[in-house]
Amino acid sequence: MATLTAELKKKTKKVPVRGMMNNVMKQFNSAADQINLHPSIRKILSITNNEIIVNFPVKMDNGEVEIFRGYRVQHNNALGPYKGGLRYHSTVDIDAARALAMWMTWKTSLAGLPYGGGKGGIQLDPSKYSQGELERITRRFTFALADNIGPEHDIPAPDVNTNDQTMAWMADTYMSMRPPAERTANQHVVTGKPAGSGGLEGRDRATGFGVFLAIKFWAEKNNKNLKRKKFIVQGFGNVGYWAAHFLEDEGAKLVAVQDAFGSIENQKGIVVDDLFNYTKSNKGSIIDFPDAKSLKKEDFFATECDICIPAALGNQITADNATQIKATIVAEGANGPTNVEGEKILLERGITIIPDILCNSGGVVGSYYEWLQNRNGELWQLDEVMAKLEKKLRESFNKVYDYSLKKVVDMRTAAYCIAIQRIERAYVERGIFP
Amino acid sequence: MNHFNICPDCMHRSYCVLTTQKDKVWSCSEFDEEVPNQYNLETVQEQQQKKELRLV
Repeated sequence: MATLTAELKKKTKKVPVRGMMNNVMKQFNSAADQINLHPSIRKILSITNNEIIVNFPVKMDNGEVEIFRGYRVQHNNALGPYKGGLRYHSTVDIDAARALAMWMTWKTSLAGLPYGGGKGGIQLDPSKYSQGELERITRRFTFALADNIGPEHDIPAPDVNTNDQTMAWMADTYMSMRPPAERTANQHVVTGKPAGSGGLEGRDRATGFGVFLAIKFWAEKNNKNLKRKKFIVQGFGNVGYWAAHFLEDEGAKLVAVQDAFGSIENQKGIVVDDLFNYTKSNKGSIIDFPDAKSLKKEDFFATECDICIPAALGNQITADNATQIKATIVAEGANGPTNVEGEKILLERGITIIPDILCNSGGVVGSYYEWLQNRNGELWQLDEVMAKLEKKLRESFNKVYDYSLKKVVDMRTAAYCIAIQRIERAYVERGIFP
Repeated sequence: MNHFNICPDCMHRSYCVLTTQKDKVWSCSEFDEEVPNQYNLETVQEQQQKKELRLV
């Protein structure tokens, strides 16, 4: 094994960081200190590999031409092609893309995938454009990115305001730009495509299934049975619904739910699919579900339960409510639902946190299977996909759990350490060119 | 301050109970934007057709 011997210069150029980038860097530096990361590798991982900004024109429905700005940040590819979402949002900028790309590098590394991290998007408000305009914007953006993306180089996926249709347009445009004989061999340039266009069966439930599995694996390790265990879910979107669905199948009982509209509770149990069907006929809202009573929003996290699943958004478990949580385990289905102060309180109270980077990694593992399926010219059945997901996620969970016991650290610290060590190993084995 | 947040464009922002920190959200399962306006597209097309007729 080669050893990197480069030393840090005493004077290094300070890169201005702010907002999200600051938070991601804090997490990285804390884990890097914990594992005593080689200074040269710390330098490499502290900065993004490539940052692509494209300005491109698109003809609008009214005949006028509008110029759009798109981004793609490629953080690191030591373990494989860059992987990460594309979001369409008016606040997308290079700083946000940098932070999210770096976060993807840790996530794919922890999941044991042959990927690096990337992120990007277009600065626009999609509600102001017609479907036809969005299609032309997507296709022109794909053309502008050109060979900066590719099935073995950088593989985008859906994110905020982008979906399987967006990915189908991207794949079609990218494939159309290749020589005729190479077109079908490039279908895996994006993941998250519709099932009929190379997408993966079961991709919709992959993240929620992963959340459920993480809880199940933790229960197995601690000789606990999920039957009759009570759980609460914040967010009844794709992740929250599927996690609840699989937990119910395992015998656990959903007792409270919170969504954007309000909170409901029934300690005798809420039937997951009944609630799901109700929301479909109630403009997506859980409010006034007949088999539950409404709950004050500030009382939601204090609900009597064994398992708490924050599956909506960040900064939900804080110093204000962490003391009230009754669960013995918090499974982070959302990104960053527990803040630093909240986490400290939970850990002091002996409550286990399955960190987001591990808990919600089912989605990116699902993306990897879609990519593999396309790359190998195969079509996998749903049961095969679920079995493969379980195998891969068990592997990641065991690594994090065992590391946390061995080093006497919490699971989040363990997850970051494992993720960064895997990248460090790749650099140490390969050395730095030239 | 975290300048990147998705709440201002979310259709639930006026009544959402999930957070009071609507300047710090970068990912949310409940995020929904208004669907692009197809009616608007049709109106624009109609206007274009009228314009063409005028030119002829």
